[in-house]
Amino acid sequence: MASKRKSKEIEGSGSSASRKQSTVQNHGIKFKDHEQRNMYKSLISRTIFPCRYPDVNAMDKLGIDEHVIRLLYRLGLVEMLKPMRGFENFTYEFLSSLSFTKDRSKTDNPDHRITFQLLNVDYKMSLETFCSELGLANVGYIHDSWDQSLRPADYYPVAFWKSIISSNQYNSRSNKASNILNPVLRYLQKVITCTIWGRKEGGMMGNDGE
Amino acid sequence: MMGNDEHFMLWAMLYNHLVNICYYLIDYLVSIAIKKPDDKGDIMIGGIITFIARKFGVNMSKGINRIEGNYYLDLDTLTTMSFIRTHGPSHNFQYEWRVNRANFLIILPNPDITNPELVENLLYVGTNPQVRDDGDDGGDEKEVGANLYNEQEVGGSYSDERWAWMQTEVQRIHTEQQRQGVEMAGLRNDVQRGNRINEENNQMLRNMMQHLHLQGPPYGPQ
Repeated sequence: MASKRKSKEIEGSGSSASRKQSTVQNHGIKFKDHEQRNMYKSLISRTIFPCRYPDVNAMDKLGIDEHVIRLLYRLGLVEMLKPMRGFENFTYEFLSSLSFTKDRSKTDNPDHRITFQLLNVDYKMSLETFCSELGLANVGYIHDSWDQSLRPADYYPVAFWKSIISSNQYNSRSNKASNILNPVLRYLQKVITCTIWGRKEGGMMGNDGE
Repeated sequence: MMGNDEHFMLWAMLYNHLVNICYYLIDYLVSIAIKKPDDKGDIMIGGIITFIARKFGVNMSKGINRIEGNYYLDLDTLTTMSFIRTHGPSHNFQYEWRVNRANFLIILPNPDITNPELVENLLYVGTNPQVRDDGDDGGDEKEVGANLYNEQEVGGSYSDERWAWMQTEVQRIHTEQQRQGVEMAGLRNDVQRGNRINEENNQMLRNMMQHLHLQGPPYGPQ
């Protein structure tokens, strides 16, 4: 699964990790090609923020903990959403080396391939293996898959959207999360966008205009 | 703006459909990585990559330059985001739920009302006195309490005076209904609303909550 290329240890890491360790050249990454180097250069020019995880205390105070966690559990996300620190070197190295090759030649057991690098170790594997390593099953719907069998027959995006926002808020060109009425769904939406679909939104700056 | 994938995830969670979460996760991480050099989009997925690294046995002590900042969607964050605000000085543990900054007013906690698996809660516009309109139609009390919308206020600013007025009105209606012996919350009992999870599932949920809850800082080297 994991093929070792070069695995020079990164200097100065560990519990005392701090900004001064950024003096480690290129975060200790040994680039395998120019493409990865360019990707790394692009990535380090962008601001990096921590994921924002669901907060049990807040959910409890708002009375939404039971339902939020139950719905997250359905997607198998509970373990993934255990709060974890982010580190620049892991983030830059993984993203700069990540490749996902989708096998569209067959719908029956497609061989999707994933490659990435962490601490200068190359990992190459199938999606099946990747899922297994993460403790998740390589099954379930993909709503926009080219494989029709993976598309849920009863998913109607517009109808669903209208079912969770006010009818007079509907806009076919804009799905604003701030229009979601139910507190549990809206908190879940924020959990998703602040973790696995991590992006910094306008809402992070004091308003909720995502 | 919500992405199509996020929209789909909400649907799948709500209606209990299995989703290939790894496929989506990798697809999204690739899209983050391949942004053009001039794209200054922020990166906010470091913790998820730590999760992946751990699963592949990467030595966590090799982490360099911890990503600093708030790791939680806590009450302060939700307040900053204008999701909630505290509900009056005498209700230290109650919060006002806000949609589009001010159009809705639901006093939390209230799990019976916020349970999304009850379809009537998705577009909650019930007669609960905790919810009221800020419209200007001057309609009768019952109708006002049931109507949450005022399109003109969407996305607009909302004055403190207006907010204070709303709180006063809500309290007045609530007091009046209590006087009349109408305890709305009591009507939303288990039998009426159904779909209560059993004790076994409750235990499972408690375990999961414990799993999510960390007494200290997020996992990883300090």
